[in-house]
Amino acid sequence: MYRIKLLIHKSLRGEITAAEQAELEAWAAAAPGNQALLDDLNNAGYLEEALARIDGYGEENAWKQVRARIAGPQHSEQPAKVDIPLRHIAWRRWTVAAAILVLVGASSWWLLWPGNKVPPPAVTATKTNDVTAPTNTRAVITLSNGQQVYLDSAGSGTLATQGNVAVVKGAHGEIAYRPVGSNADIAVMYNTVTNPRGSRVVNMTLADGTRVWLNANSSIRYPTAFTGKDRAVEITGEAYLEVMHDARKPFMVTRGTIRIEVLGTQFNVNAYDDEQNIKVTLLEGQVKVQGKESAVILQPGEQAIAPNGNVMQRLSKHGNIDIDAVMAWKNGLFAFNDADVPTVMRQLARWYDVDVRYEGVIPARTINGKIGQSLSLDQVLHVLTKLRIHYTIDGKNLTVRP
Amino acid sequence: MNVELDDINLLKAFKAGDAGAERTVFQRLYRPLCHYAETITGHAAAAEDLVQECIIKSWARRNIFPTFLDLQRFLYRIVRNAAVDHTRAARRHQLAHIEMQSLDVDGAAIDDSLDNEILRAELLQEIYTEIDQLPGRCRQIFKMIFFDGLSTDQIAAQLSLNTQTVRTQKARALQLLRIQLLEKGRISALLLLYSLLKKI
Repeated sequence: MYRIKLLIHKSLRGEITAAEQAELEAWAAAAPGNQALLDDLNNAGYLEEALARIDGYGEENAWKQVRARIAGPQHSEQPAKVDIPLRHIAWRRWTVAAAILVLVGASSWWLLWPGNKVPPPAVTATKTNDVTAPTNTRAVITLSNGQQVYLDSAGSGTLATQGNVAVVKGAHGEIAYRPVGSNADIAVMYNTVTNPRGSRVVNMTLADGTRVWLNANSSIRYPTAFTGKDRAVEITGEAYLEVMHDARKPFMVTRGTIRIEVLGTQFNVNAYDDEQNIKVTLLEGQVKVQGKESAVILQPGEQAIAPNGNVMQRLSKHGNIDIDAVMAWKNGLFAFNDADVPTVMRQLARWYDVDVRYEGVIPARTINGKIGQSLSLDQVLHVLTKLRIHYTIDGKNLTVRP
Repeated sequence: MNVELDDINLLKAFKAGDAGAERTVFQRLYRPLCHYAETITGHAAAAEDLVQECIIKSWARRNIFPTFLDLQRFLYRIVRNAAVDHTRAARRHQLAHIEMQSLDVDGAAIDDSLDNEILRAELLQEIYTEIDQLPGRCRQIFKMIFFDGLSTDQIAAQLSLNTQTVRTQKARALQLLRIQLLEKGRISALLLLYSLLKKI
């Protein structure tokens, strides 16, 4: 290790001899982590960030505390409340810089190729700004009389009473519809919940007990009480539904020309305007997805895809459907499966409420992996710099460069 | 430059309970370990807490380590375990912050990757020490530029100096760094920072 350190010092100083250079290259080729270390040390963006972090630790203070503790009972073999299990089992390999991993896909294979020549060092991240993950819900409920209730500013408790139904906000910001008073027949009233970009997922319970999780940049329109023959709601963007079983009243979700007919079931609808395909993924039960020209019936684990809302295709569970990835947003994660850069950026745009602009050609990369949605935009994007994707965050504008 | 010999002497004094050696060892280990822990936890305060616990634990058994590197390997291993446990515990309580992809590797590869982390952290610490050894105002301004990302005008405003003074101090910091690099044969990754600084 001392030897390698010496070689790296020399290399950074530009004083390395040809023989030493060969030795260093052999070391770099021995493990992908070695090459990554050299790359990072030649990357001003990485250094700046790592050094800023190192600078942030309270070393003086920590020393005082540690000193006080070791000075007490003189170096006893059993120091107070230290409980760190030692394991000798096979360990996971953590990649550098961030504990967040993106597996490198086919088109970026060269990054993991140890013998490959490193691209010239580049400033990967120009940190002018950052956007934190949404910390609260900016959703708006539009009541039947047109009145708008901002979920975030409203306290918990009853938000409004319409007819014989109360809209209640729970302790964790969830919305529920509860019957109140008599069951007198009252005309059907519609409410809409709009969850904008840069807002946390909204969790709600409709009047029939059906549960809905609404992603950012999405909306749902529904009756305050299901008094008709069927239960019909309209969705834009992305939602996950756990429909309360009621054989007498089929549940229907419409989105443009697509209609999903449901018995008791759990499914996810991804129908963003800026996505090419509408995707309905079934987790439990059975649904029929009706397109303009054709329909498919889904079994659990299957997905219906409707390009432009027209021809309906059924992808079987033996296909390439990763339910965990489909449902990642509900569990606070971004999940990418062979995603290209624009696909990733569209998701980031919705979550962080940023506008994405491309400078030059859009980098051709295949991205795989999962990343926590509670990270800041810069933290998420930092991972992509490993794939030599460059970016600048300026306020609400994200610029991506090859 | 015989860092290996320095480490042997440091460890000897440290084992003998020399107060100065204890301070030096702590200084040498603390920040790099925190940096390593933070890459796993994603959380600076948690990283600092668990590193302190681990250092105390390792010091209680300082006599079992034949070399300084053995002490480091022990520390990086228990810090990694503690950081991973912390992350798992945190994940149980709240939404998953960081989903880690697991790649099980065989024993040999593991120790390599750990040594790699030690090397990385040590090199970063050495670069940091260079900056930290600059004289007062130079250091302050250098850190404001790099770690806080402030412009010359912002620094001037914060320190109630005129912009010309800030520029002079900035130039002086770079000059000193360059002298250190040339004379002491230290790491010149700073040259990279230097080129970056020129653009500001």
